Amino acid sequence: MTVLQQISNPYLASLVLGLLYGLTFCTSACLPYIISYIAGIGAGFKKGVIVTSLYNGGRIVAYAVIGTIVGLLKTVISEDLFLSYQNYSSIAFGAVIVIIGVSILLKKSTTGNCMKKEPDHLGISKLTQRFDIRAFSMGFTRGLVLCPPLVALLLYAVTFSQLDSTILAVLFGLGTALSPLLFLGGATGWLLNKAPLFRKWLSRIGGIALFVMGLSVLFSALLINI
Amino acid sequence: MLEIIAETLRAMIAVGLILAGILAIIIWVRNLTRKLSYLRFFIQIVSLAVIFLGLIIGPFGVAEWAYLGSAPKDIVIGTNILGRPYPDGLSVPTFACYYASGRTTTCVVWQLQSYIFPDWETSSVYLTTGLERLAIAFGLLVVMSLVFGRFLCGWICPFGLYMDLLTKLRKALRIRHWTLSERANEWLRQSRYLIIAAFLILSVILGMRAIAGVELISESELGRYLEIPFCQVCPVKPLFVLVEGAVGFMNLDYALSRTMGDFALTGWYLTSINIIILGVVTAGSFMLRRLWCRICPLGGLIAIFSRFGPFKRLSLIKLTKVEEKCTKCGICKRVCPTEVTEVYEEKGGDVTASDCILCFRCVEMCPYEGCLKVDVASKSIYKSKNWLEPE
Repeated sequence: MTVLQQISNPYLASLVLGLLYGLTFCTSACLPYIISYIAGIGAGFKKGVIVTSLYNGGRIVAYAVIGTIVGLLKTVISEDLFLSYQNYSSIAFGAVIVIIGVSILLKKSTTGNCMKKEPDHLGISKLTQRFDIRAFSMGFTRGLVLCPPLVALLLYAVTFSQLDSTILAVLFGLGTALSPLLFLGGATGWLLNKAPLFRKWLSRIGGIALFVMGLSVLFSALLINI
Repeated sequence: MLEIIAETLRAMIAVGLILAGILAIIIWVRNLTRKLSYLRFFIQIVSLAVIFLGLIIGPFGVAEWAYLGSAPKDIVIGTNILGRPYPDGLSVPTFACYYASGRTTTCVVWQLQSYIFPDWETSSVYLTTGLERLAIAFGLLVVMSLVFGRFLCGWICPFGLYMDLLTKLRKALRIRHWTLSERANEWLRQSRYLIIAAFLILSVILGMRAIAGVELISESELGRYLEIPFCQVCPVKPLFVLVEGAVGFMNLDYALSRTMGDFALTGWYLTSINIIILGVVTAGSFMLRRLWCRICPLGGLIAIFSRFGPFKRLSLIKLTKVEEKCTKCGICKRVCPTEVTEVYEEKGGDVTASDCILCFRCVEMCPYEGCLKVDVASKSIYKSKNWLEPE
């Protein structure tokens, strides 16, 4: 924290805060989901990096949304409201993870079905193929679940203008995006790609892991609600 | 004075015994093999002696750690780099096991794991930071992989020698080796990358405690079983510890007492798992040549930095083939200890596969003049000879 205390510029401070937490908490919190997803879809190095970038992109967008809302409300949220928000965002995140896990498992069982491809004159399918909506939505919903440093930053951002609170949240997100996750995602994808004979099993394991982790998040959030 | 004479005599006897052993083996294999295998075997033994030089030259009877007994001290090379202490010495991408006594270098896998966790911080032992030490170990891994590639596996690795000795024993007993199907072999080869991926992820998870003070797994604190994870399953550690214990260089009672108890607390010299793995690998290597080399994650790491992507071009040692001279006789495929098929199947040019341990057995046994060549920095240093027709 001494480094942060020395930085007087709030923009730089939120970026550094993001970098520091990206190296530790974010990597550890996101690694199981990213790795399972990369294993699930059988991504190589390039796709692994793209998937991780999209996941991080989703988180940054979520932070921007939260930052904007906090900037608009201009008030400190009550503890009850915060706790119920955390619950609902966890339920959303858990549900998304479960759906992604199931979609990976189902895709595996339907492979081999020959489907006639429509001609793609605008290159839309290529674009959608590159833009992995699942990775993005996984990152987006993960970003909606507030972590302690972001909560601290948002409390701090209340004192700034609406635009500033958005910028601070985005800078924090950018900082966290520059974590070892990018390298790890790519490296793991590359290594798993070197074992094509295990792809089917890895994909199943990745899908099951996502399903189980999603269920665990979902149930713990639902149990708190009860 | 008498003590010095006694120590000198002991050292001379040890050296004499080793040389006599080498000579006996050389005479034994003379008619069974040709010159290169002969040279490789000799270099493997010399490498073993160099890696564990302390066992030969002593000082003997000096207890470095009381509980280990009177073990010869390590004579570690490179304990000072540009005026900065580096107590574990230089690492080599080969199984120069850290846990055994009398070593001169250290296995890179141990250094990489240890410096990220648990020895990340500076201490009275480590005056350099974990990041500095990791950079040195990783740098050495990349450079040595580029310069030597998997030549280190075929010619230097002590565990490779152990497997070659098992092969020689099997041959002496006139038992024919097993040959795996191509698919089974491919499964084994590809599994190494999964092992590396698993340990990469595990290292990051464990490293978090050391780097960020965040303990992600409750058992990952210092002294628990997840400390230096690969060494807890590596078959090389128990081999050296048991051999050194058997010849009196290590206190085997101590090592074994740490094995039989709670597994979570037995993570230093021996663990139940790595003894079982050593047993399985030993039994397997007896029937399958160089079994461990087919799944070895250290070999996989060397291959990553010498046989893939941009590293492939920079790697110094290459195996090349002249397609026009190849008659597809298949000898290269049959004699390969790791059952690599690329040399046989590839059309020519650089045929070095990531699974090839660069033992050059194929070059040695290829009966067509200049069909297979060993290139070092684009210069041919050894090529196949026509041994079918007498000179």
